[in-house]
Amino acid sequence: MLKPEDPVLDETVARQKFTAATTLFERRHLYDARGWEVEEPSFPLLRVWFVGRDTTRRVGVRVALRNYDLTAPSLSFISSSGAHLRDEDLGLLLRPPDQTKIPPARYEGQLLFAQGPAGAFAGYLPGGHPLTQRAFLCIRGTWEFHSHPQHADVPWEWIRTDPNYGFDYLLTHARACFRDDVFA
Amino acid sequence: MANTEVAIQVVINGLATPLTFQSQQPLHAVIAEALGKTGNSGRADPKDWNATNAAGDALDPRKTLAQLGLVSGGSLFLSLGAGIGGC
Repeated sequence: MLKPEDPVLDETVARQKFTAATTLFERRHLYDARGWEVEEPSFPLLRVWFVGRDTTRRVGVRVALRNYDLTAPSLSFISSSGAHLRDEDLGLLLRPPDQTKIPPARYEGQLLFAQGPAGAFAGYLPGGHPLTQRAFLCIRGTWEFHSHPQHADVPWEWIRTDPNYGFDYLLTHARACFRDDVFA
Repeated sequence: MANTEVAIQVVINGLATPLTFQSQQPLHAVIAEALGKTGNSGRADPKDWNATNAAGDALDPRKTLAQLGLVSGGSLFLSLGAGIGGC
């Protein structure tokens, strides 16, 4: 199975399609109030950080678009510095698993939860994608969803031309996975 | 409560469209109208959409624009729900 970064689509075509990321950057003022910091895209990556009330970066997403839109955008979670977040670090920022679209890890059928003071919920350990071994956002419109064996019955081609599965949609759902206190 | 005109921008997938509604319209009706006016008639069921204000706070579709504090000059963001099929 090809990985998101493997070049498949002709680069000239891919760069033309990449203008969708540039368009999001040009409209970034729409997202200022919700705390999205959209970095100027550089082929083949779009990076967006979700900032706290003090406008510092708390967590972000990296959207890989090397083969967009032959294949769906590949989304991963990054730290304030842009490095991929380790599963255990990402997990400490998440809402309960039934409120996110980031599948949890399972050990002998059990989930692993983190506890804060007085036993308060403080995150859970996310599971890795079978092809990338990284935590992933499992919704229609991500490479991780459409390449997942569990969703082979929902091909990307069905929604590829629907603009409502664009970056706004992906980033909104990614942001919704994180607890409010992450941005306090 | 007076029913006044509210001129807001509706943002769908990064496209902002200026539209006018009534302050006493419930949000679900506003969503349906906005989808029609922005050419999203193929996916016109408001239940398929998540509505948020400019700050990203989720909005209750049963409440009116006035109850939600959406006034002229404000923004309404509509994003397709994640729907069924996730892991």
